[in-house]
Amino acid sequence: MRWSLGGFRPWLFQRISAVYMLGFLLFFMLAIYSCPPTDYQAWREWFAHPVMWMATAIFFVSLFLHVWVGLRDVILDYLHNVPIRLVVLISLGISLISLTLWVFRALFTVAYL
Amino acid sequence: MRFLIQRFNPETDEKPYLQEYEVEVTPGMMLLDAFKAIKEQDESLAVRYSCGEGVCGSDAMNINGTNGLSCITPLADLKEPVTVHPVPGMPIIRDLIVDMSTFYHQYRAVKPYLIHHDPMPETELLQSPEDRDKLDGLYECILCGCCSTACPSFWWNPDKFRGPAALLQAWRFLADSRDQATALRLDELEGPYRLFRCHTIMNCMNVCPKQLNPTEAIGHIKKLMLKHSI
Repeated sequence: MRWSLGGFRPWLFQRISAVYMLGFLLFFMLAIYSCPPTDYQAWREWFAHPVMWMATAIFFVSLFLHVWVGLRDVILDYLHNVPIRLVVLISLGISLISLTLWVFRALFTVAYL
Repeated sequence: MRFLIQRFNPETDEKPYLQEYEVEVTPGMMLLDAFKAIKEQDESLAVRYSCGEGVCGSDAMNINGTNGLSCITPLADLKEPVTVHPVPGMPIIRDLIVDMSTFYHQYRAVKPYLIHHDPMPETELLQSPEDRDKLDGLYECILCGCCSTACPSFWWNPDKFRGPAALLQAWRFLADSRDQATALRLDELEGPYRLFRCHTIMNCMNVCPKQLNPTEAIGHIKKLMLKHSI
């Protein structure tokens, strides 16, 4: 039975998410620089566009998974007390899941309200 | 030349301390020669060495902050006072001699031998010169432990992380055309610790007295895992 934290998959995801986030951020900065949204309405419409909406959602999911892998690595390296490690890992997991839900709430507000 | 050498006898000392020695240096002397001279002044100093020419890997130690073999470290290259500690992160048996058990445990764990499932041929198990070339830079490891004991990931998790020396050997057998246990070897390196505690710090390749590159070998293992997973 394999119940432990993974090794290869988190590592691979850390790489893929890094590349995606770099691409997204470059695109985002270029877009803001070349044709900045003129007002709040334009800004909302930009994010409500399905492609931009999806790209942003993927960006934040990548960001939180990237943070999970990175901080998990720091915890595995330095926190050797098992109960404390478990508590810290679970708190980190809950925080990141909450942040993801919050981002999705914001994105749904942009798209449907 | 002045030397500050870490002394520790677990039976009598509470904690390690530095002891100063003065040695007359002649041109061409290696650090190991200085130890031999010091042992004439103070025979209680414990140092492990054997071949004296960088082949056996017995005399790994921390010299002026960097791991290396005393027998191939010229005194002329060292700044005075020469400060010598045992390799970091290992339990000290006495003075500069450390207990390498965890290091050997991790080495054994990667199954450092050919695993061949097919019936063995009547004569030799042949290998093309090109395939043999793939083992260059891997087979030369003398298991001195300079790399693993310079690796912060190995300091934090010596019981779970294989460490650069063992992972270099893992790749040495994965890269061998005669080995048939690729899937088994890769499987055994999966998990958050064994291979993936490596954060590409590269202390290992910096200190290797044989100029080998465990970091690169670890990268090859990860690439092979990728190939086997998609």
